[in-house]
Amino acid sequence: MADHQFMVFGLQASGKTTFAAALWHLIDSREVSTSLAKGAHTGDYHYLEKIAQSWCDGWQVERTKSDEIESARINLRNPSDRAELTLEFTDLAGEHFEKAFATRFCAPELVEIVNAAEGMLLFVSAKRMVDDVTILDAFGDLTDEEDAPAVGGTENAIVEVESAPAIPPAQATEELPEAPWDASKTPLQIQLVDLLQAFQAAPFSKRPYKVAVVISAWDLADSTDPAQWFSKRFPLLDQFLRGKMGASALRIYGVSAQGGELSQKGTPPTPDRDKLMSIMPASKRIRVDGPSVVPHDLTRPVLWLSGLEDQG
Amino acid sequence: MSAAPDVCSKADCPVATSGECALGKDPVESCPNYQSIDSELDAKDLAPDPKAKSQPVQIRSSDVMLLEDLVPFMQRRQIRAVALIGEHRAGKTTLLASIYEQFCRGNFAGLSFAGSETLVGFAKRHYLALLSSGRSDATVPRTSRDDPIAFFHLCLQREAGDLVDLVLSDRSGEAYGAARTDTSLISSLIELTLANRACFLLDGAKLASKEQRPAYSRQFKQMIHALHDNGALSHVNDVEVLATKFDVTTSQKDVDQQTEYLDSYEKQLVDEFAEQGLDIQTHRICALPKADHKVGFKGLDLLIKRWTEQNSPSPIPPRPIPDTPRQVDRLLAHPEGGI
Repeated sequence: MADHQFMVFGLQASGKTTFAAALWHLIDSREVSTSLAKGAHTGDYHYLEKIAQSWCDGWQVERTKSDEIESARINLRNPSDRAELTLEFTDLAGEHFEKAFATRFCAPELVEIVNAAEGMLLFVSAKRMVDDVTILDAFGDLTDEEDAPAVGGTENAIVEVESAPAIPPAQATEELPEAPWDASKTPLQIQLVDLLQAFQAAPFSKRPYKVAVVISAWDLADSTDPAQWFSKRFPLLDQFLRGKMGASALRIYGVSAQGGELSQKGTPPTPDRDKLMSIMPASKRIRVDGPSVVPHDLTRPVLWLSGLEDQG
Repeated sequence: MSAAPDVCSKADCPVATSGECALGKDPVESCPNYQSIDSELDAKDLAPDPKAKSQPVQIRSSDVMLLEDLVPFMQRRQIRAVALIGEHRAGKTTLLASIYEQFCRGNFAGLSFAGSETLVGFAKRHYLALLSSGRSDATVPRTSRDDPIAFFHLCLQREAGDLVDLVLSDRSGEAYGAARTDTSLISSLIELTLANRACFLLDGAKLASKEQRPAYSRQFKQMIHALHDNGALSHVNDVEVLATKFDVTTSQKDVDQQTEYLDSYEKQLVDEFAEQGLDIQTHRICALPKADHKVGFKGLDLLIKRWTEQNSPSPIPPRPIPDTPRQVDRLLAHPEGGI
């Protein structure tokens, strides 16, 4: 029975699996000091070992397959009082959540995970394309330059805009027929808010709890302030989490768990790989920004979720 | 909405093959055994997976609230209910989508977004304004006369931390037009029974058109008269007229004359209904500035402040009437169902 159980939540390619791989290497290798240390090595570490191997070797960590619900149980020790604690990250594929949003059905295992969790690591990626640009934003010249939500990049260097090929007004000849609503094109922040709200209604029974937002691929965000980046990039989600109905407490971290752009094993390596492989020890590839963090220490968000930060 | 396989929990229901509900429910979504699937996913995605440990479980819909959803919600939460009234293309759905869009961009009108029971419903009204739709011209889906009355919910948080639940109704313009010309239909406009604010949307584009203006300006007043004369506004505390599409007004060549006409028409409305004992406020908005981008999103912040202001009395659900034929009264008498 875990002392503390947290849920890992995020849609596809949000960096959940890479975070787990890097965390496992970090505490298992003991290469750098961390707020929480590794506890007793007892349990099934097959999955963690598999993904940590890819991370160590400088290849893209293979994301969780859609039919997998991987359990990653990590025993940790709080050095300040020698207390042992167990963290259980249940890693669901992002597709699970996207399918739940679209179909309004989910696996019963998700209900168990949500209801058992004391807090949440909520993942979004700085690499994700901007998906909520409006037609008026793009063609209407409604906003001034400073606040423009950016076709081609936000202030914080989101470099791609997700869109179907649109016809500029000058070329448009007649109005297109209404295409049916496509759930998969719903902006990410809407999907996340909707699912977080769904977790508070039957068949779930979750009240607002602590949420640690992890912005993965933080090295790609042209910002040094994760909270500011998050509020600009995901304003509705930010409002919701800060509101009474969202989270009981909120922290926002920027995490670069991989350290750079990597390719899949078996494909030509990226330029970043050589650079990352030369970093010794490997744990120093990890970068964490946010409140009360220390360099490379991925356990800080977990420490805060556990309520142990103040005790340290 | 078309039926899909395995969408009804009643074993012998033919809805999946014929679209007909075994219990005679129409629309089929109103049947408690029906499980609607609003997605582009293939039905096979929902079919039982023999390898799965157990069957999928249904989660909260998050689509629009229907009357049967709203009444129990009103028993749990004190809401501010606004009935949006307007004929075809007056801008009701555009207004809803635009309010949602403002909160998607950040705090708005001194309020922050704290939640919504109908987030998917909003997303479905807004998707044609997104670049990802592939369109070049922002629009909203048309509300069909066949669509049931729909309610949209926003939970908004003030800076002081208190919450306000705003509920907006959306019904097809054709239904209002029909009720104007046949007042026996007014009793079916149940949103007026539940609302504490009636908001009449005055189509600024029709008013700006010299061809449409004569009939439309008369018919618009006729709508308010019809509802007022038949007691449909007796429950509401506030009545306002929102002149929509202000970008169309300002984009006309004779903009000064257009504005002057709008001024005089608004004054005429206020004076005419004051004589009838009906206090009306007038306001102007632009919820989708297509014709004149420089107008921007006009009047929305003031509108939200007005609709959520602290001194506005909380609506009290009408008292249930026993043994009544009206659906709304039956729901009020049995808010948890079982009417």
